[in-house]
Amino acid sequence: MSAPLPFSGYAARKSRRVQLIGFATLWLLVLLGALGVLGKGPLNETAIANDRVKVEYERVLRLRASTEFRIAASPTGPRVRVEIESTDPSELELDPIVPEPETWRVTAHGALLDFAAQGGETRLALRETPRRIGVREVRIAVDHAERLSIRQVVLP
Amino acid sequence: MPPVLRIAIIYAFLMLLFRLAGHRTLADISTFDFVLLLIISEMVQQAVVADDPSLTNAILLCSTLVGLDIALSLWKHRAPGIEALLEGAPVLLVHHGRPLSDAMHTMRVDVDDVLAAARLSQGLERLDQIRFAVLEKSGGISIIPEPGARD
Repeated sequence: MSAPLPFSGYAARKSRRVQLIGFATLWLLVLLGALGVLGKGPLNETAIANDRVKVEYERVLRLRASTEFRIAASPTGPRVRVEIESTDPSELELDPIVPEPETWRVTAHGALLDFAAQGGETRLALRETPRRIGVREVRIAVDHAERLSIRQVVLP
Repeated sequence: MPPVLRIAIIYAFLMLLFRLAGHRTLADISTFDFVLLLIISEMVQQAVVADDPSLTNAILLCSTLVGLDIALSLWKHRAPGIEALLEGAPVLLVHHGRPLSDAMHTMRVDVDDVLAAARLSQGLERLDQIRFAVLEKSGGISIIPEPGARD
């Protein structure tokens, strides 16, 4: 009497089902990545504004990957003062800053930067690299006006 | 540009590049070819990873590469014409001991390559012992001996 073949239709169907779930998960991950839900994509970019300033930023960041804050400010004088604060100031690593600020100093919660006003709307870009995983809050104010509060998620 | 899109472009470009390079490029790899591959991988790595060394990025890039590969294999399975377009087709190099010069020239294969494959796979010594020699899609040469060739 010959031994039965080591084949189980049930095991094959189960394996196929697991494989299909794996494929679907993989493609969902790729789709989320392409859209920017996990950072660096079209759905990731957003903006917040008040009557004096508009800040464009990314909702989701990745650890040790630089991000940019693009600030458009309406100055009231010859200078624009930008104050940037974070829940964890030690992780604020601003570099580079475009255009270069005339003066800048570190404060207890972040940094204070003075730029020459460019006439009309002044545009600035602050590049920064997150150093810690989790949710963080960054506050940006221009010329002591109302602070804009930004919440960002930093992924591993 | 999102990293997922960057890796997809690199995948398509490399596929095109190696398709243009032909069957033999990776089958008969020399030390120089190996160094060339290392240089290519280094350049591609810089272009893809850019300034994002995060774990999320690495997971997404790996998933995209594997996902594209699975999608392409499914597509090739359903459309054989696509497989021929992307991977080429087997090419007959020797027919009843007679080398087909045009095919060999186009595929950059010479009689010595065919004889080497015949010795290695079948223990044959001469061209007239070969019924068919075929350059496979993988780049290897398969040999079908004439009946009684090994007697």
